Amino acid sequence: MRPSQFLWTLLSLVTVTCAAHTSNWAVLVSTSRFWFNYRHLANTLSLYRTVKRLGIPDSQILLLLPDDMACNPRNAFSGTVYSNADRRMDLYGENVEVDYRGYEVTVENFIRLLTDRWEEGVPASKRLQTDEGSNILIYMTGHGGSEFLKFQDSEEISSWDLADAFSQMREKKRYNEMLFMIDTCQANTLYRQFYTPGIIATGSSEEDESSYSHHADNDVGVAVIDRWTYYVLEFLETQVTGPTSDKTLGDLFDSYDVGKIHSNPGVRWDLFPGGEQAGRSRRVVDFFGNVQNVELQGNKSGVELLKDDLEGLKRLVRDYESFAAAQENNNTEMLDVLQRRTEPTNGKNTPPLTKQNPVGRVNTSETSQWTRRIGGATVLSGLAALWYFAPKLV
Amino acid sequence: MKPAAANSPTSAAMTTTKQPPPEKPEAVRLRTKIVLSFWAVILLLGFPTWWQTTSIYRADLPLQDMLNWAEGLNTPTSIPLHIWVSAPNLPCPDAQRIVRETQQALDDLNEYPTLHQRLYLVNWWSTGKDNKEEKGTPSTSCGENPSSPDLGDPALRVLLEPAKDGFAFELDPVIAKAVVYIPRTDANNVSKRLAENLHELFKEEQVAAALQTVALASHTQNAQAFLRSQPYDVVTRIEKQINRAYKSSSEFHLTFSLFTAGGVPSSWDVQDALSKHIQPLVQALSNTSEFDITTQIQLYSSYSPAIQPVTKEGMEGAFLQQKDLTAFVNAAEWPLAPSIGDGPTINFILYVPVQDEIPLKIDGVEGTSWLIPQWGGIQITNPPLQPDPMTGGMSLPAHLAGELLRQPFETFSSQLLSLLGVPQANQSGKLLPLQLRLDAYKRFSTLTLYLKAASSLGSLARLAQRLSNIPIQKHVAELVDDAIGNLTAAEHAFLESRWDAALIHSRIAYRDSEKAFFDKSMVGQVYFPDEHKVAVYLPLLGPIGVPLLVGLLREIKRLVVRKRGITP
Repeated sequence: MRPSQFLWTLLSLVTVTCAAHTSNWAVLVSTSRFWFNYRHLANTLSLYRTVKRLGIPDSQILLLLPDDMACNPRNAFSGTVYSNADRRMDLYGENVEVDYRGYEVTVENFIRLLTDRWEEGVPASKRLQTDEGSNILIYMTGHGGSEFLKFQDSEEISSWDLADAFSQMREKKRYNEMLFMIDTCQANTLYRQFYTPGIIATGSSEEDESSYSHHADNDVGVAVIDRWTYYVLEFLETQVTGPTSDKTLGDLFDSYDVGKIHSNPGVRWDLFPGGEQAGRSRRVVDFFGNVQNVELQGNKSGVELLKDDLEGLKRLVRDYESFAAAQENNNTEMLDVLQRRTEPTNGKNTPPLTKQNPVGRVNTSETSQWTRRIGGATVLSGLAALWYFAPKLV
Repeated sequence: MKPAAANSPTSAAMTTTKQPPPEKPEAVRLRTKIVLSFWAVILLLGFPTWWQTTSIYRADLPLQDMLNWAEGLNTPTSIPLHIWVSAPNLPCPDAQRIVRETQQALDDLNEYPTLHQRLYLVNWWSTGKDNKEEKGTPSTSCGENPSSPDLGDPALRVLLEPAKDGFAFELDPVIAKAVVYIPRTDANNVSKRLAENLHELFKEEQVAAALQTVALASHTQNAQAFLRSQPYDVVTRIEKQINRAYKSSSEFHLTFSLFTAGGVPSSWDVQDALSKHIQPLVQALSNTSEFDITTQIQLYSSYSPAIQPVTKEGMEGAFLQQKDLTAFVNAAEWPLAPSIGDGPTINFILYVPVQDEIPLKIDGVEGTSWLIPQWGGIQITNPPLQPDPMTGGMSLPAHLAGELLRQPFETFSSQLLSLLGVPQANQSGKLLPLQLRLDAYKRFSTLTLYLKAASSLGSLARLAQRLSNIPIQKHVAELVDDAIGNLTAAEHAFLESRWDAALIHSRIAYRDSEKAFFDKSMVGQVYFPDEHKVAVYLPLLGPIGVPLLVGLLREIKRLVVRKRGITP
């Protein structure tokens, strides 16, 4: 029958729309300091430009830059950062919002950022406030090795750390789909330990392979961009012309050319629901662009309806006030009624609350007392042994 | 015999090389004691210290309980919605029959158990009006007493009135009350039509609740089946409405900002506008969430530099491209999101362009306001230019008076309702009475917070099971206990249809479960693979461990030898 078929198509549509994607976020991380790592900051800033051009607002981009190349004393072009020797485009420009800088870029902060476990009072601009409808782009670049990436020459993040952080995000429904990109030596090993569904991962080089820089600018004096990032950006800039582009991730990954990149880029599809086929058909702008559309409103529509509402509200407020006044007047009677109506709920609901707390507290304090006793006994017996044996040693 | 045989080679060797004098027995005993005391210190002091300092504190969590909540095993199978019916001017048996038959018809119409309407014949009309009670009409004995503890909060009060002409269902324009006119003639049809009307009234709320259940809970066959039975366009419309809204929270901050691109206007009658347009709404919503209101004025804060408005031949002012509107907010320079407290901030921005751009409009549409889902509302205002006494030319007013703010704040208040997710006009463009919509929002919010709290508990439990090296502090366990207690209380309130109590408990449960999950101490710092652990311990334990172990082995060997020597 027709209607039953219609219902079945409805079912599939409903399930699709329930997994809807409603916002886009980008986390762009450079992990290295110092002037000779100029290219890592340039990589990240280039990506930042691109996602901003494709429509992700600054409030939904988290930019982590451990060093400030624009103001480095060795920078011959102070106040600017370029990712190309032609120096046509200043990446630093006038409007770059760096969320974490300098020594704030640490492994701990990065994991806190992903899992959103902060002390109170961390500003919203530093937090990844995603929900079950958010698509997240994570781009990392720096120096790494097999299953680790160095942060600021002092720490490292491992593939397991990332995998665990992502699984916690998944548990709390903090993302819908995620694209993880990494440009570092042995980059493909960094997503090896991931186990959480919904992630597409891509990296610049295989295990035991280096990722190379693309070219150096002789006037800047250092390499300005990495090869893999350069060709990804080239694709994004030339093929993905605007927020409505329908280029897919498949197109992006097919554009990888080992001859140009000088290393073997990798892609991991198996965590993505639907596998490679579904992943390849995702549009590039699903991750690099912004799905969040504004809703235009005429100045007239809605307001007419609301006028009635406001009138209604005033009436409601008057009702509340008169109710309050009445309550004050004959409060004995009203209170009686109210009490009788709330009593059963109170009577039923409070016991579980009061019961469960003390139990937990008593338990924990008991165990800590025991550990203290054992500790004391150990120290005492150790001292006694020392007192007994020490004279015999001499 | 054996020791003698063993001794013979050593005695033979003695003759060839010079040997140290044999150890005295007390020296041997002393060495044994030294070795033993070293081991005693290691086992009694060293090992507990190492264990204590390297183990990760994990408080006991009621894992199975938490998972049960997330699985929905404790969730009530049906959440009734109480409707009070009163019929002071009908004979009591008639009223009872109508209620019974309508309930039957409702049960047939609607099999989804969440927010299922239950009719109660309640004598609310007479107690509401004291003068009627004094008359002592026969209806006072018909139906339950409204203060009876068995009754929950009414979602709707229905007054049945006898009528000469046909059936009519009339809703009060503001409060949740309906008058139903019942013709004397076709009594059978009445209950069916009444049921249909009631069902229609709460259907969209049920769709919203089902959508939220599907999104947040794990056992959702019922909800999915219900959604499948509903028209597709209704479901998508309500889904869009939910997606546009902020996630339910017990606290919201409303920030009203005036951004002017130049130095004027530098003040506005915001207090007046707020008390006129926003306060009544906030007051009506105050039993659902708390609202803080802040305002700010920022001068010389232009929109994002990425935007270039265009000018058109023969037209005044400038035009914004529609595609640029997403990038309008200058997130780098505008001080938005002050992050006060826990709740999300809803932004309302009134933007006054520089004089050259006035009037600033949006290309292709009439209005100058737009809404960014889950973020806030933006409105461009073009105040009329005034003659400037200093220069003689025209300039922007220094002060935005109340009349200029009326239209923007009316827009803001409608945007506020849609950003919170208060139900909008339904399919036919008809709005339900405000009280009903606010109540629907309250119920939706309660259900969402409840489901979210349960699902957070499940997430935390699975996390604790999977990641063995994540610390769990004592206060996290206490928060979990609190959350479970409140969820239980909310569940009881749901069953009795007491929405105010359910909201309070769900809200606390949500807050506690979120705090427990996002506790800052639960960052499993760095994962150490096993080979890393070996690499850390080996240099430490090698140099110490080898002499200790060798000493112990020697002592044991000596003891064994002696034992055999004594008892051959």
